[in-house]
Amino acid sequence: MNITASNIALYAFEHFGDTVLRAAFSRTGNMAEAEDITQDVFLKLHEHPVSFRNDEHIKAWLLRSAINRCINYHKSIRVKGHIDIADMSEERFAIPFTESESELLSEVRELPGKYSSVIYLYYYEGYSIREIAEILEKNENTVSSLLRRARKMMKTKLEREDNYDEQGFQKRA
Amino acid sequence: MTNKDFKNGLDKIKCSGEFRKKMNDKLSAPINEVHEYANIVNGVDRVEKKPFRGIAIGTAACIAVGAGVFGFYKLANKPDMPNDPLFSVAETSPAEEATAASTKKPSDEITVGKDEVGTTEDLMKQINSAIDNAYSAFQDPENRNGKLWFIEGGGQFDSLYDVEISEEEFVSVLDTLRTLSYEPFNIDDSSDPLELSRNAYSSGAVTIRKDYIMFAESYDNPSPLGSGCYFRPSGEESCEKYAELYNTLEKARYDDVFTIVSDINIGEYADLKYDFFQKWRYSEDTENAGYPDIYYKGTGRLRFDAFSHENYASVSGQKIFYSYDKENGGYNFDSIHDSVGFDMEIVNDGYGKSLAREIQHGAFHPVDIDLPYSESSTNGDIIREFVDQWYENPDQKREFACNFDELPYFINTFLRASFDEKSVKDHMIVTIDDETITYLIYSEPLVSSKSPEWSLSFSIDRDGILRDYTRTENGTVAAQYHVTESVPFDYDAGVEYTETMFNMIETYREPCKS
Repeated sequence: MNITASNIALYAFEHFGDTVLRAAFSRTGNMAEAEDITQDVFLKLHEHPVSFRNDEHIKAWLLRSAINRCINYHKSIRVKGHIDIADMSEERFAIPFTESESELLSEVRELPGKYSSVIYLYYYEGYSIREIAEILEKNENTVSSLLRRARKMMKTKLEREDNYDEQGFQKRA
Repeated sequence: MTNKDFKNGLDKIKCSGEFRKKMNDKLSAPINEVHEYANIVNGVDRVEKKPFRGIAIGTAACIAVGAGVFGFYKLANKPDMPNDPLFSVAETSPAEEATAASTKKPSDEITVGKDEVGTTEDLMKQINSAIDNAYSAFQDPENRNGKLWFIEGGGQFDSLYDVEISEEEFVSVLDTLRTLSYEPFNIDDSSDPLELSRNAYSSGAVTIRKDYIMFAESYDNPSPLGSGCYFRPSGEESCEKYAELYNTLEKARYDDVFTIVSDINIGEYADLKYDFFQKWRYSEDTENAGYPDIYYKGTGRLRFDAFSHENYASVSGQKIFYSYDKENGGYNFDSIHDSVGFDMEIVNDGYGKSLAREIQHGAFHPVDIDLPYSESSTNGDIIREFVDQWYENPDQKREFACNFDELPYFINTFLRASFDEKSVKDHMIVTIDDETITYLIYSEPLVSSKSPEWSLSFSIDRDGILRDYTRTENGTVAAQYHVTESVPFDYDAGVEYTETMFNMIETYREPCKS
């Protein structure tokens, strides 16, 4: 199956807008930035449509794109030199995080980007090491290593609720 | 806190109705209406567009910065250059001028030359300004699909290619150039660039630093691919660095390999190694037991001849071997600096492979070592392999331990060791705490009340930032620089390495005592 909808970007946004926003937020911790990154991802797709095999392909492409955008976003912020702090206010978003949610999200966000992305993909999206490696176009061992180091850096011990162990390998039955 | 908090917290992140509506509107619009999306979302102030001056300005920035960077290296090994070399590096060669002319670069574009620059700070300002202008120019929608001149060549701009490039790539290249520009010019002005260059390449640890600085904040792109340094018969070093420029969303394009070659006066070596890496990369996906096109069929050796002894990078199966043949004279252990004829690193995900060189050079005659390397090798793997193989012979391990003038011991978190080679005592102290690994390596003072003849110290923090590097000679600072850019460094591997060395020494210290 090849998805070549005439407006693939709109289709993708309707199905995965939240996913991309979430991925960006997990990295930036800021809704305004996350929205900006999300916007960039979909506008880019709109300008340069891509043909996808299926929804999973779309999702993986969008996640990779969002993660890369997060990198470049911060680089461009640095180039730009300033952000209007007033406009960056979180007030208009008012997300009702609990204290522990907020603390944990901050902990992940404070990890270097390459680690927080892997943590997000592994623990939230539930991807396997191999899938993450494909999404990020990294070697599986590299991803595994990033995951291991990320865990080491974090105070909170995360666990997956499925049958994957801490090393990212499927538990034996 | 549990991972449920993580999941529950992120579950609350959803597109607001307002944002969804805006996006729906934009994504439903014809594509040409979407270009002007500067203020779709309240909150982020995008770059103010500046008058479009064409991508030539980007080219100029690249050339200017590149000239500064490469020129520095070129200069660094030319002792006969004028006295104020730091600011004369951007003088263009005839070849560069010809190239620049062919790109119709206006004469009033940004230059980084000695006439305009008074201090390092000024120079950095100009470089940053050039980069910012290039970025701003690129932000112009008309220029969005513009072209970036690609720099390639050996120490000068032998050839420039224009390629279609995305915004991400453009930003990435600019950032690389910005990063590149930092390192040479952050050097203390009073230091001798030639000396500093020599220092940077003269010990394994510092070689890594230098390379990492070059690729600081490499993110995912461009990605360091490899680098190598070798000594010329005259004792001068030549180093090369390779990086791939990745498309942001796609795999690396080999025709986009961003090659950084510094100070290449021995063209044959440069070509050889360039081909080596290229072919190595190309052969990754091929189904074969090795790298058939790499000069020798199947198992083979690439020979690099320097300092009258032989050094090889051998390729067999899926492994790349480094080997250092036994030296046949000419080594001088008076100083760690001069003990290496050839060094090659292959880096993966920003990790170097030669941390153990100090020990190697300070304590031992070089012997063959084979370090299996694969795409998945971590720094720790390589170092562990190095230690295992180098000392696999118990006698050799014992010899190593015995060579320590003082047996190593921990003082809190210190590993302290001294090694003795040909009556020249060198010392290394590695300090590890939760945040930093600090290395201090120094020679024994000739007279106890005097400063060491030389010393090197540097530290790397957990985030991989090389904090300080200082080299002294007889108590006087000979070279010093402070780095603020992120330097990819495998902290864990450093700990592993130190622990491995310590354990090994502990294991064999008793026989030495007896």
